[in-house]
Amino acid sequence: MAKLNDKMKEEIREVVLDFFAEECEIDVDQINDDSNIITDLGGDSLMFLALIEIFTQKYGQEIDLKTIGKYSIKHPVETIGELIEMQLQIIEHGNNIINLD
Amino acid sequence: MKTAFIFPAFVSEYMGNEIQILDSLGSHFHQYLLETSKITGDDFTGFSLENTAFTQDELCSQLISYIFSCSLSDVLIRRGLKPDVLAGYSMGLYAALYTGGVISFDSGIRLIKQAFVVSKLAIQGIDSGMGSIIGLTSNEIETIIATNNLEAEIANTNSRHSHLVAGEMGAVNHLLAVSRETGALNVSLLNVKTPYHSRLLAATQSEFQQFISDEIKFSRSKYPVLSSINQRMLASPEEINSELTRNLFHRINWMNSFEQLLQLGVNRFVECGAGKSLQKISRFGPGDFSVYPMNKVEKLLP
Repeated sequence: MAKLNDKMKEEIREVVLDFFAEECEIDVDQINDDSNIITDLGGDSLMFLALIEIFTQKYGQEIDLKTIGKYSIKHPVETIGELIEMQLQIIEHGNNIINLD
Repeated sequence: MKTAFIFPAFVSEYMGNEIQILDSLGSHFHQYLLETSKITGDDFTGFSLENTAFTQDELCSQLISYIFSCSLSDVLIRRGLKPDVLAGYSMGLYAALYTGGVISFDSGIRLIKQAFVVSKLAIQGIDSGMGSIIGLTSNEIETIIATNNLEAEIANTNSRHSHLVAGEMGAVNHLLAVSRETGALNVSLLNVKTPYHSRLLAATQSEFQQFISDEIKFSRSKYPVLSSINQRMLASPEEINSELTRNLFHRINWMNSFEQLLQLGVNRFVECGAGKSLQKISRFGPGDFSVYPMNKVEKLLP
């Protein structure tokens, strides 16, 4: 588990925005927290999986994807803001994310 | 640098400007629409991506996808970008074989039509479908299938955590629901009723094989063609016939195909078709490589 300071949170946010800007072929300025990943950005669910893999490698985590899947049932991710929030939770809590509720 | 031309199956998400791109490259797309009209007896000459009704017609979607693929691979080769190897994702096999010169364009159209006819016959009276599961491994999916005794199976593995499943519709729906409860990140039904790459289509084998033997002429391929069933290169007419036949009802493994291409030294993949589905799947491939969908290929031309 990683304790995140403001600088790290901002860095994570930038990674997410840059990722979607590149994958969706749009300017990063066109993305904000309310942007719907599918309907506004033309994103897809594979992108979520790719991002999880990027961050688990970056932070050396061993994440059981199923815990994230189960967590997302109660905390659906539709917008960029929701995705960033979930990503922060994953990095901070790892597989314990499922026990957060 | 080695280049693979990879061919998508029928496309669920178009970029929207594929026809303009093909026109700007100088392809024969419109001629292929005319040719397809002559072969099928249906009018494809007025085809436009703005009229999305075709996406609800399974056969039409497949034919359109094939036409996009053949048009693109044609013009790329004509303009000097030649592949070192070809690989088709599911029905992308037909365009791969056309590109290699194994079959004519007309034969590809006829194969797609006949495959559709025999498939529909095989599932007459059966409500079937396909789905996508993201976030579970194949072992986890197979455990759910076995535990719940479901008439469904893995049709294709895109990556370690991305699979397509096929079977009876009730079973597919149940599999998707249990997968989500088990922790899949996303599950969804595909917009297709035919359960490709599943044993529900095993009954197509003898009729389709006979059709191929009687009606389709093969030539030697100009470029190696990789099987998405067993990742071997298809060489003899018998192997090609077998691949075409088994492609309907046999599980395929695109992940293994992609990794085999990387092992062969390919580091540049050209997605020869509409959309970017193969580029999206390739995110999970190991190593250093680039994938070029249709809107990025012009920079590759000599």
